[in-house]
Amino acid sequence: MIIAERKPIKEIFSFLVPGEKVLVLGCGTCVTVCMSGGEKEARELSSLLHLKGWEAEDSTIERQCEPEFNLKAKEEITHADTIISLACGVGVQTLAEYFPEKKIFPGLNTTFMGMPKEQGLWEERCWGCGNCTVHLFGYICPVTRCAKSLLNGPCGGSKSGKCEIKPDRDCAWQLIYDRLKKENKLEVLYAIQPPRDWSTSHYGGQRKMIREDVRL
Amino acid sequence: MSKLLWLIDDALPFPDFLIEEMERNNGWKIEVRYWENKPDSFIDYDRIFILGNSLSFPQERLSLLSWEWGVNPSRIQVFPGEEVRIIFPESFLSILEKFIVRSLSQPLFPLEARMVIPENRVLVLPQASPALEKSLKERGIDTIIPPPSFSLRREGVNFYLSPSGESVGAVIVLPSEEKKPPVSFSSQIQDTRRLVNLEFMKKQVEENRFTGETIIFILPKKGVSEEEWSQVFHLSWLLAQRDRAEVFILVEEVLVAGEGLEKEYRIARSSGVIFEKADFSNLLAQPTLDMRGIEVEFTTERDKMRQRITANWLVFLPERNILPFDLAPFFRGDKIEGEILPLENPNISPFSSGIEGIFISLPGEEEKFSQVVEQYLRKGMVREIGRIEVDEEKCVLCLTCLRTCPWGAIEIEEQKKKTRINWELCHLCGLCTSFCPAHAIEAKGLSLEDWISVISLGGKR
Amino acid sequence: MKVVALGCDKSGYPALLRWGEKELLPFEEVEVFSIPCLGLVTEEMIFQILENSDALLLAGCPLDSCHNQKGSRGAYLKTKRVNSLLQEADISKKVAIAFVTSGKVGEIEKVSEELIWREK
Repeated sequence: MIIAERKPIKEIFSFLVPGEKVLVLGCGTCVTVCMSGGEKEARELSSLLHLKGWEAEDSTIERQCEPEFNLKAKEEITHADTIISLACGVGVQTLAEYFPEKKIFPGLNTTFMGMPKEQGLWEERCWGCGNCTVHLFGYICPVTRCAKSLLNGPCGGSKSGKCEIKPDRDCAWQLIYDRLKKENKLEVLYAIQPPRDWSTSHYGGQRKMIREDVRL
Repeated sequence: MSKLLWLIDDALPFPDFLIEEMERNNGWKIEVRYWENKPDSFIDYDRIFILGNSLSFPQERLSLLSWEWGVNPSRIQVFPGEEVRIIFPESFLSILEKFIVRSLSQPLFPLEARMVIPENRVLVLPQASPALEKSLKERGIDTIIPPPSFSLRREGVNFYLSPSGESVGAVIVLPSEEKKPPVSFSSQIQDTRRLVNLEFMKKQVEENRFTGETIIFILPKKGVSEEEWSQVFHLSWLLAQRDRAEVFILVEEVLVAGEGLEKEYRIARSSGVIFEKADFSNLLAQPTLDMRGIEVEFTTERDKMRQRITANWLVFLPERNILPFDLAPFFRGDKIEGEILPLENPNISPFSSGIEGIFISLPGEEEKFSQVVEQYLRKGMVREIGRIEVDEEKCVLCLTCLRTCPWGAIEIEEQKKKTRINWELCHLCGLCTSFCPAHAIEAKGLSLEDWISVISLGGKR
Repeated sequence: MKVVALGCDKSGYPALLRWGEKELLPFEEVEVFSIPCLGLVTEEMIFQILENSDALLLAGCPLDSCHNQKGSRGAYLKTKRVNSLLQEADISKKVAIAFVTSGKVGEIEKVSEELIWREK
């Protein structure tokens, strides 16, 4: 899922003009699940704005990244002067595309695609590089989880299982080695990975997916 | 006209004329009864107000009473009469009146309190010890033998074994233990051969004399049984009294709360054994130069002074740690029940793992343990249906509730993609409602809007 | 200073009432409510209460002896979060949590003094 974090309260306040009507618009999908932009957080932020003297309301829609759901909340959106969107970057853009006349600000910083490791801890797992090869690396993606995205790792900075760039993170290549060793498949690592075509990743510009078969 | 019952659980009389006035003003019919003189049937009353002490009526007791009386739990309210009389003596009745007005303005939720009794059969993992099996049998509890391969799943308060189809009321886990010295001793110390265990010392004391020698006992905080304490007290007394040896007992905590232990402790002390409380984390031990003794350095808890004692013998008792038991291979529940350990919480039944119905048995305490399990299986518990419910429209299946519930009372119906509260296990703590990011779980009659208007008491003084 | 006090019915609420009996209330106005467990307290609930009062005082079982294992801990984490949000937003209201056993009010006194001190 997409993980996002709340922006600092001061930054959110700086978007707003005293006395205006604010709508805090939550999103009911990824950011609800990662506990940063769901109904709970939307209510929380609108209560906080209330305490600060703004006329604030909150609402949460199913998925802000879909125009249909956004248009459903049209009434609330047009009623407000400013909208703080608690959706990922996709949601904010969709909203802004369909309500161009509105002042819309992002309330979250979209951070990564990942999984909940345990309650209250989320970890990045995928970069969306456009060419998945996790099966070659014991199902631990070196592109995402190695700070240098090394495909023929590890580098010299792997120290007692930790990464030299962020010493509190596990070295991805240590994890890859451990997992393959456990499964008796270390020979997989003899294969040298050739340089990769990164044009499928975001270095090749904005990406698009077209499925002619579903375009009625 | 609302028919109200005031059930008084404190001794002070009520001024009748004020009650009449209250009835007239609000159009109520109030019946005042003392606790000893409860009515036989409670069904006719719109609300039952218990006037008593706040401490005597926590939510569990109210659930129990509503089950006993056969009334909807949301009809029963507690007013802390005893305390309010003391805090606001003059305005007592007006606060009570306000309380009742607010309470009557609340909707009644379709709740029901029911008694839940688990099946009188248990599964022991990985395998029952003879002592445990015997003690359970004596109490009439059947243990079933775990099939070679099976998975466990929750069904209400019970557990269901597949594929055999048997169900059990509780799962008992026998964790393994790890023994290690309370302090890490270097190999040089081992070389002195003066570092010994209790068994060795016991034999030595029978055969030899230790006149004029110095002996230090080191006892860990965890895992020393009463019997071992007793042996230590006895040995140290013998060494001090018979051999005139100098005996030190270094502990993190002394246990004297056993039968006869306190007496033995006193006898040992009066014979000259020195008990010293110390922090083991900064205890240092090293061999003497001639390798015939061990020098122990520690900080006393009493005066934080650094002490150094050269001992001829160092006797230690191992620290016994219970290793967490991994339930994951057995459980096919919705929640990944991983490693469990006994809870150290005085307000929750001993041997509890935290998950309702899963107990952790500790060796040497079989008797006490089966007593706890028997009580759980026989006495049952009263739980409320309908109190906490999931709004399926709002639920986004984020699994937060599943991961937050301390009692393991949340289930995910995989086929229908629904979250469900297993009411038979729910303790009404409300953690799921307060953590739910989608506001999909509601605690009926317990949420802010419900209770804030009902149980307000206070004001200016 | 107007304060709302919320206690769990196992230990916090009885302790709050005992505290009231002692006539040591340091606030002009206190309202006391009871809930089954502090686990029910949500951040929005706290904000809503703070709209009409200066401070919120929560009282519940000690962290390691909560009757629901983690109820007090849940409330403790939420008070910490709300306080940091309030601080970030420059709002001078506060939430405090006191861990009590039903008979003892010392902890509540300590925490309430803290609330007053923060207010100044």
